[in-house]
Amino acid sequence: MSPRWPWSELGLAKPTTEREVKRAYAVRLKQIDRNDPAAFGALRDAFDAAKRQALEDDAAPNRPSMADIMEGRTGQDDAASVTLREPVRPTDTGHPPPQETTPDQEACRTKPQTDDTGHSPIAEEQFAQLPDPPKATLNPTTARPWGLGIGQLDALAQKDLDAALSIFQTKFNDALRPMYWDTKALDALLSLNMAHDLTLRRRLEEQLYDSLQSRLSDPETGYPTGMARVVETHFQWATDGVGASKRLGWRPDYQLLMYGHAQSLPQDEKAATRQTSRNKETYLWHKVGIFVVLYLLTISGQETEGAYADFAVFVALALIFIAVRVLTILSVAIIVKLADLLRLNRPAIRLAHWAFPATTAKLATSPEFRRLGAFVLTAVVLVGLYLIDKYA
Amino acid sequence: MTQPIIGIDLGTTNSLIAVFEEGAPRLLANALGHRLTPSVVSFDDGAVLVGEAARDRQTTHPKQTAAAFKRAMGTETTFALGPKSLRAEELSSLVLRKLKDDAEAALGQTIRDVVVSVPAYFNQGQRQATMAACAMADLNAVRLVNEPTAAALAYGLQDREGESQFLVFDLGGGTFDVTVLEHFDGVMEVKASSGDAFLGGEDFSEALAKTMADKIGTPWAKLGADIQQQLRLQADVAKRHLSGKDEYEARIKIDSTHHGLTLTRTDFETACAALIKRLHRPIERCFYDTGLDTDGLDRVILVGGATRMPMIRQMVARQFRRLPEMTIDPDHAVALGAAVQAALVAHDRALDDVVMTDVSPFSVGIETATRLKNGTSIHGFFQPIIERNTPLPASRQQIFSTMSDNQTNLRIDIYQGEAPKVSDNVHLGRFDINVPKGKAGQESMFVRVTYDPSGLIEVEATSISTGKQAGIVISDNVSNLTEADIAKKLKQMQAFKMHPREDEANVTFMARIRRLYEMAAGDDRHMLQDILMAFEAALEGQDPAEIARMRGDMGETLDRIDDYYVS
Repeated sequence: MSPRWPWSELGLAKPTTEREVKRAYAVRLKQIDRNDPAAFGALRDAFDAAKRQALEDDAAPNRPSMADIMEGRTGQDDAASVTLREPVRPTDTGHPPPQETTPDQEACRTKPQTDDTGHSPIAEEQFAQLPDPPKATLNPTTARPWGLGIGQLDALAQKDLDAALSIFQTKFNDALRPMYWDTKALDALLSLNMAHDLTLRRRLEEQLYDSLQSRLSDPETGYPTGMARVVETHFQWATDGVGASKRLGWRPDYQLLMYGHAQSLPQDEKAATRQTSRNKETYLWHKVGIFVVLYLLTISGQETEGAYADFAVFVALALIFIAVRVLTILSVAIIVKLADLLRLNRPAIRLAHWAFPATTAKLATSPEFRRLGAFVLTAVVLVGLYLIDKYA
Repeated sequence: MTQPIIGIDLGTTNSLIAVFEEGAPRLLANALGHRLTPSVVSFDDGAVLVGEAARDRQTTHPKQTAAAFKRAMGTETTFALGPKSLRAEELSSLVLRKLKDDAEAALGQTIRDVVVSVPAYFNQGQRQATMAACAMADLNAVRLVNEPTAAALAYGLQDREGESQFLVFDLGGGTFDVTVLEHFDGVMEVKASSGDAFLGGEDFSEALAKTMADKIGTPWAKLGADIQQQLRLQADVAKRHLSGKDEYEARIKIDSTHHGLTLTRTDFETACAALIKRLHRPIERCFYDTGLDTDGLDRVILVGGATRMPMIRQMVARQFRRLPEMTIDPDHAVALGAAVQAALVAHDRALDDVVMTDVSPFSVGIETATRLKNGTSIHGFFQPIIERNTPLPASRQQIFSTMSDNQTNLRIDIYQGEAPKVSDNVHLGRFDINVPKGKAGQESMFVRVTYDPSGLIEVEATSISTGKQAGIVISDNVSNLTEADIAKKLKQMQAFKMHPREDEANVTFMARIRRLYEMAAGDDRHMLQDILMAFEAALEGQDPAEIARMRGDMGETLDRIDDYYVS
């Protein structure tokens, strides 16, 4: 940042406490031209650097450090560690707040108390509705915790957070199996109240990213719309890529993956609608055009016949055209389903690309399409069995 | 005489205007003596009605009335009012004109320079539309202030010496903003802002209205637009009642059948569960960007009328494990703060020791392309240069280079937003820069983005080899409209005749009787008809004292009927 000694920029002689740094910054800020980006930027950088230094020098940081977060301290499970740090707190700012309750004390408070904090009083019952901090005791009543449904996890988390967390993680890993993503389970898990914990969420997001990354280095492939939808609902990669890049840090091929994600999300979910409607229109004209050409062909081929015969030939041609089209779709559906059953996702997508250059892999990889494949496959097998039974 | 220092809160549901005098902000009342002016516009025989009368006309004349148009700011959406069709900024300009007229009457001075508040999460297009609305109302918006920042200023002024980290949770009629601030030594420093420009109290009403439709037994989609609108209004009332009580008895008239339904607070909370979930995301973003966690906060402040809902307060209390504060009326805080901001811009002596720094709510960057290993190139990546939540003013630069051999022209497309694909972000402007021929990647340039607190964004590219420069300035001010265009628009808008001010109380009263008549049944209807006729007769008589007396007397009756049917 600023090459200069940050403390001199702030008008301070030497590194000092956070309180002094803030005071000095406030004084300088009122002196400079606050519309000048260069002056403001230099002061700002100096302030940030000096403040960071002051916080590092502090024996007892009053906010949880990065290390705490890395260790998985969720901020609600260990009241003990908060109270341990409590006695040192007044020295850290040199400014013990006389009347306001420290945030830490409030975090430990479990019962409604009289409002002596200077906050405006709001009905006490609201306090009563705050969840009690979960107690870290073993709970023998949950006999078969692994058989719990996802919906029951929140209740378990209230009683026994550790157990709930480990079940959560197992279920999450299950849903992220390398070849098959259980998007419904993922969505349900991420929607749980317990998944709103910031630290846990960060870890889940990274896990999701790695799972996607290992499979989709090629943005052309895209990934199932269902998966894109779940990721978007919970992590907003397509609408908040900048935030995601901050959270995830530098990762290889980050931009491509994000782009691929945004690409495979249905348009209407990103509020850009104008383009799709135009595409639909051209698609329709394309179809109408084919029939017009067919009709002209039949007329030119049979000059002498009556109009009725012309029409019949046209209809026949059109029917054949439609039948061929439907048969192709059905057979591709079968093949895609088979490939899916054999866990050959990549070839299936390639095939879909080849068969439907216009609609791309999105259609072919959608669950509806696979369901169609399964249906047609069953139908073909049944008819085959029937025929074998009849003639053999 | 010096110009009065004015701040305006142009809200989705209600708008307010405040003046800064003698070191403190003060709200100005409208012609009816109320501080809240509903942001509703209605046309009545060519004359424009704004405020309570227009709000009552939503029931009686839905086709001539428009509300909640702030949500369409910066879009091409038009609202049909009778034969006319108006855009959101034009409707907003009518609201602004009403506020201006009222404030001028209250102060006895003309008003020109104002500070207008916008949701922190408004993008450049929405901000430009707000500025255009001001210009069309013949107001000069010297600055736009972010709503949560304004609220924080209002709170900060109460406690100038204090030192605290706090969070402003601003859930208005149509928008949601979260801002984390630090206040020390007279410095009000915004650390991070985030939000959802399409989430507000109106969505909660809508959810409740759909629950009501379910209870009646008719699917929401099958109800006509008129009944949907009626349910929405009823839901709005029910919502306010459910903030105080656990149960509310709603009476709804559909096609002359009356339905009585019981709504409980649990019904309401179930209907809004998904909306509550959406509130979490911006909060998460804010915390991530500041590196804070909930324990680092000293205070949580609630702003915006929708925060009166108990479920919101519970959610806030649970999320932050702290009792939220509402010492300033949540409807008033933003307007008061906007007036403080106006005083800061005008360098008012009373605020010499107060400084405010804000952040950019969005990232600003340019479009880039990338060549893959297999030789194909992909366009449309968004490369942020100034990341969101950077303190303003800020100036940052990055180096970019050519992608193909002998490329001589580089096009710089500037975008605002957070999406990795530029097509999902807001396009701000573009310019070209020429560079000498060379191998791919050999020619490069600096792109510098400068973003100042008044919302001005300046982008400048400098070729490294030749030193040639090119650039563009993007401002909140309506960049695509010239002075002449604005003058023309202003004239167009002034052609709309406002209802005379001295009439307003009567017009509002009549609109209220008509609305009640529409809702009432049986004997009440007859009574209302009598009241209407008596009042019309009094108006014919043209005796102001008599009319005022009747308004007072009948007002009580109307209150009673209102109590029974709606409120």
